[in-house]
Amino acid sequence: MKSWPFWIAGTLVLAVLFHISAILAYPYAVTGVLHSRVVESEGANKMIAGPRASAEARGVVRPSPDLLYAICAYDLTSGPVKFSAPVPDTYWSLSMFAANTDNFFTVNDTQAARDEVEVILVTEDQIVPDPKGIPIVVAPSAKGAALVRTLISSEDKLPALQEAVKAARCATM
Amino acid sequence: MKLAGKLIAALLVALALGVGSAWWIVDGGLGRLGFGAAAQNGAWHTNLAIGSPAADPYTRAAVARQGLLALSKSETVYFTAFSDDSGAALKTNCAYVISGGKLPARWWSITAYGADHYLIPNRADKYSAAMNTVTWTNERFLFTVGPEEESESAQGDFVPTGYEGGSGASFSLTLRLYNPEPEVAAAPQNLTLPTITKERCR
Repeated sequence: MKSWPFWIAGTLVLAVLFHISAILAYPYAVTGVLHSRVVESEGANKMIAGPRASAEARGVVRPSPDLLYAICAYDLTSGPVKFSAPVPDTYWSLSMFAANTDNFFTVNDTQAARDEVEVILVTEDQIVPDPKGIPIVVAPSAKGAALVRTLISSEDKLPALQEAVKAARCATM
Repeated sequence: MKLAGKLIAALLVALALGVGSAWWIVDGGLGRLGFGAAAQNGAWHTNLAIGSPAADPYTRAAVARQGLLALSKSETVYFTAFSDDSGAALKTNCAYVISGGKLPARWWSITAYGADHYLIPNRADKYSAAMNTVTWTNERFLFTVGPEEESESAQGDFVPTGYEGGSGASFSLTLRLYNPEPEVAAAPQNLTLPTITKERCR
């Protein structure tokens, strides 16, 4: 009996398995690399304001040069993390991303009730004893990223907007 | 041993086929196979599943490659063009006129990216045109994207594409619609989006 048909079929089945594994693993690999890079340079649960995106920016693909960004690599393994940020008078948002790239939470300047936004991020089984009325968001993964975006509405306002972005916080409670 | 050799060969072929095909799809991006909630509008394409928990694995993988930390459709809808309105690939040796009117969003921008998905180096540090930076005439805007050498003769504002000689490299444009009107997510294929017209090539 010839064995080559079995070899071809086996190779193809294996190829399909490799294909599916690669597609499923890739988002986790990319966010994992980003997370560990941020943690290595600045640590977890710290909001880091980046410079305005230019051609030198090689951290995250397709950045917008019209926005200011701040990033926090959150890690909920040692407890809930509290975010707070001043809301400037332009487009602004605080968004949260899970390890699989899902954007599971976003709040923007028009939705903010006050000129400061506060959010507590928890895992499914963490309890915040006294949230003091601060909204609680459940993260689908213990590690992920939070991003503050601020539109540079005019060049004159750039310094003030940069100050506002720098004032954003992310810290273990 | 002969069997061991065959097994290793089969494994390597399977690895190359499996991972290679995965990379081809992921690197080709959100438009290549039209997975999930993909939509086409002229030269622009988008995927409404970006950032959504309902995203399929291919969309998530493409987001990880081309739009990591992209917002979901209620906050921002991203349209990307790899070609002009005639269907020809965008090349850094050609100048294109981008023209349009009011767009259904609170704020919008159009940014040029190199083949590596990063901003294209240029002397003016100019990478994009936006609702608040373009020149409006009778509720219409117009700007040119192309080689730096074309900036003198170009129509409207100018976004350079870092042409370095030869037949040019491919690049892409991303249109961001921040806080889009409901019609954007409801029928992205029916919006009147900016036109991308090739003017001339070097």
